[in-house]
Amino acid sequence: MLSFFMPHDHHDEDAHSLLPSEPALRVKALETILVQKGLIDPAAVDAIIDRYEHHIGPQIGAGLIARAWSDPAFKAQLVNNTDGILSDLGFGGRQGEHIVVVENTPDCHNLVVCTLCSCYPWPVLGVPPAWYKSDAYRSRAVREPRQVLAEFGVIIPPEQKIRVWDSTAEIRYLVLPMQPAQSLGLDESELALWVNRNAMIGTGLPQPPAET
Amino acid sequence: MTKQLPKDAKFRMMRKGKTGAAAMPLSPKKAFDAPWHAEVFALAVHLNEGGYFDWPEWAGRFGENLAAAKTAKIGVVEGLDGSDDYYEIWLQTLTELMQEKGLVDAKMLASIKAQWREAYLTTPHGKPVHL
Repeated sequence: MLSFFMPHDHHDEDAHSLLPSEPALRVKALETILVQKGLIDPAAVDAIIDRYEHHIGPQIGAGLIARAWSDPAFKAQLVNNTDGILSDLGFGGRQGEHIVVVENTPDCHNLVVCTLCSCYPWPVLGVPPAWYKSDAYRSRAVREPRQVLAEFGVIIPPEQKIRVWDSTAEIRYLVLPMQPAQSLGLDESELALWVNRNAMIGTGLPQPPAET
Repeated sequence: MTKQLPKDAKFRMMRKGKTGAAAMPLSPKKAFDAPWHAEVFALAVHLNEGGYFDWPEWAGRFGENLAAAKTAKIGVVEGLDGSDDYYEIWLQTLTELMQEKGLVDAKMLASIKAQWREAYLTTPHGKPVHL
């Protein structure tokens, strides 16, 4: 409640608990039935929420990219044996998906989308941002990638082609951005701060930490 | 070399694409915009991990429902924005799959939902809400 309300102001919602939205009630109903039937474990559902809210996110991908920039042998493994190395590091896909790493080069900039729904490399980036799930991005990324990138502030020179990767339930993509020249010589933990989420989707480029 | 627009130019052009397509919403800072988004997301992940459906089955149906919703919304709004509407379709998809597999039935869903509504309306503010 806003602080300037007079003490005598009274609102209906004070009398009883705030009624959740219609879809929120439907989720509660569905969850209640699934628990009653023994199909789900509420603690496991909470653990999944906690995992995606607090533990899995772009910092995991950023760590991998920073290590790849620092260690050519690791980079080769990350690109050529992605599932193996991610599984070894504990970032394997839990939905049976494969992750493919696509490397940006001076000749080719990679951009990831899921035109079908919102397939995304959860184990290394967490859940996707709203724009990734929007109709606008899902349709326009394929049709006019250069324009979409410009809207994200990324201007791709005409001589650099753009390759758009359409994710599926089975295959998710992670972009390995080019290391900015200004970041050469930094150690892995410093480098990780240069790698933002969008750079690993292809809608951004690595940035100095102060600017991100 | 790629160049970046000045910082303040970022997202400025996102309001409308040159084709007139919908603008792309800005990204939230949190993983989920609302608690129920997180809950319904986790339910699907947990049920998938429990073997009730595999992920290609999920993605196929979810994709169909997203496409249908987009078609239904044309002319009304500029497409799905990827937040509430996205998770409503996620919920619709999960409910459909559970019903088709005979694990949940629509009457019971409606009844339990009504019970939850009643519980919220009759529980004093600040007290935990139970069925």
